[in-house]
Amino acid sequence: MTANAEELELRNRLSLIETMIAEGRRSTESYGWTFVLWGVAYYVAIAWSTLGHYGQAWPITMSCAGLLMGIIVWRRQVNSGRRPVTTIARAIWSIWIGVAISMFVLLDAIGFSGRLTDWRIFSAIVATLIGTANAASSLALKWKLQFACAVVWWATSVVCCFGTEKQSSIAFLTALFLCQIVFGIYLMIGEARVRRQEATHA
Amino acid sequence: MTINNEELELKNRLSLIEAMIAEGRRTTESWGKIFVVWGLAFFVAFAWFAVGHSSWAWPITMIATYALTRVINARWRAGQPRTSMGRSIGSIWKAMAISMFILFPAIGISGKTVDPSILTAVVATMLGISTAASSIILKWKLQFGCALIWWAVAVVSCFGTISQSMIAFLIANFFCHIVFGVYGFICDARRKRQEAIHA
Repeated sequence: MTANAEELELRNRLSLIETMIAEGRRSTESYGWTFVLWGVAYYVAIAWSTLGHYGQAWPITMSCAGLLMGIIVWRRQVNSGRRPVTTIARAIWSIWIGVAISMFVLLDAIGFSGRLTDWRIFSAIVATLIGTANAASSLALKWKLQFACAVVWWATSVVCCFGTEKQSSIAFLTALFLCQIVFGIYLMIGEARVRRQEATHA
Repeated sequence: MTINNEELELKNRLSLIEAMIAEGRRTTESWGKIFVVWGLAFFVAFAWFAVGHSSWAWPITMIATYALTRVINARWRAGQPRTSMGRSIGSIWKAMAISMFILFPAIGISGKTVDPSILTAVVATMLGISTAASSIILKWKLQFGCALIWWAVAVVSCFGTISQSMIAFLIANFFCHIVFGVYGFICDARRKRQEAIHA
């Protein structure tokens, strides 16, 4: 292969990656509602377990949220038909599936074994796992805003390790609000804007 | 756009993804040495901590291994084009590494007493995340098997004694780092030999 042909192939590959990254971001924007859904689910579980002192609050809320998300995703796929998936979009799905299974396994095991009594360390672990997913996704999509969410989660995990119970609770709830609810709404607005533009150009 | 065109585009895209998955697997196989290096690093850190009772055993070993990985990575990647698949897998492992380098020193420095088995469970879970995500991207059952082993270690660590948890972790480290890494290494060498013959 000549140097020119190699350069051309490299350029093509780079432009393909750029296109896929842009498509991956759009795909993430179309899942903005899942961030909001899980943010609300966390708030419900925290409120239920704190006010109601009910040990099964977390497993029940998380299972219901997972089920609701599954139904909505399935209905959306049925309505819109199966759209072609890009490599990056597939990677983002894989990251969140990997994190979801891991959190389900670890947090249930920790909860049922009853060996971790310090709520702060538990919060630090949860914050780190959510931070990992956001960081991996943001690095794949070259998305500074999502990486900022990952940084907020990591900062929360450090605050949970060093702070008092009150400080760690406030940090966790704030991170939940900013990185799930606000970020999710931002994604939903972005998606709605793109759809409006598409409808105008059609 | 007509239905035929859309179908053609979908087929092209699928075949491109298949090609990228195959390329991603080849890349992971050629990363076999990195898996082996980290597998050995975990064994070294464990042995140093168990024999020398030094609290610096883990931080020093992990930082030294990270530096070694960077050197190997820089030498190996020079002049190689990056694929979107490789980029995605790289981002998963990078995110996991940053998370570990933040969480564990924070827990250690804060001085909070945490059951070592729980820490082992968290490490195993984080390794499980990266292995699972990477295996799902690459549609690689063998690697997903490694993820299952890591999740099993997390569960054993939560319910078993400290020694059971350590044994489970060391066994998983042997299979999912050393054996898997050597397997990747062998596949990579075999492919290179075949390429040399066909050239």
